[in-house]
Amino acid sequence: MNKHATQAMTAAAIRDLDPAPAAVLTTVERERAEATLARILGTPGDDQVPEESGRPRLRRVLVLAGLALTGVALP
Amino acid sequence: MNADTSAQREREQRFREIYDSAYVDLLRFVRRRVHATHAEDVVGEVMLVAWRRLDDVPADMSAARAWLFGVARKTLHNTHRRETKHDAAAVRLAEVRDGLGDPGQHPDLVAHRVDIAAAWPLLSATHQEAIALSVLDGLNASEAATVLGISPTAFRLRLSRARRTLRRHVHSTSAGDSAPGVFSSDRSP
Repeated sequence: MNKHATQAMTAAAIRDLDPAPAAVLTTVERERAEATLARILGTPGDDQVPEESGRPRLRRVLVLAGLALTGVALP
Repeated sequence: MNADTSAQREREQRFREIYDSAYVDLLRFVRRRVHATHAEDVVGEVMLVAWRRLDDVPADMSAARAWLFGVARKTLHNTHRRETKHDAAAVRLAEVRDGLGDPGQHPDLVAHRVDIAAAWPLLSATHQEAIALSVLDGLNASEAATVLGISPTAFRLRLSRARRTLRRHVHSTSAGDSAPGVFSSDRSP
């Protein structure tokens, strides 16, 4: 038997052993899939999440710097 | 405002199309790698990533499917690493049911299936994955390479090695049995 026939037979055997053979979703699975879809669509995508402006970060840096200076100044 | 609403609707429509066409394939992909009870949760996580990064999902549906499989693979690896401290996520095969062969099937194929089932666990997770992507998930070299994050050439090489190793394991596990003709060439000296 040639190499291609061997590979085809091996592939057929592996497909026979597929733990998730082709199947349509059951009604319950379909309902869960629909619920998951609805839940996902209810969350914002990355492009919809407002990006944090640089200002809060700057404010945090200034506050931390101020605290550090105070820590140095106070015994 | 109307433009925003329209863009949002288009975005949702595109995601629905991806979701509807890829959900079952993605579920099967995941079920081959984790217990069925966790599979839907993993698919939900992957689809959430796709929704959040919709602009990164390829327009072509085959490529989009491969992209989703790649995300699923990373998700499974992260979970697996947390649970077992190992990197690999093996692909499992169904168990061969003793005495329940399909009466219409060629005896060589039935015998070969038993050999494959015995040899499969001896493969490394990397080799299992390469064969599964090609045979079970039905991906071409380019798509499988996308899933694994390697080049198509590297995937072809990996698949070739995996097939060769599987043949060797089949040979060794079935040595002494009445060998199915399919591997007669491998068994000759």
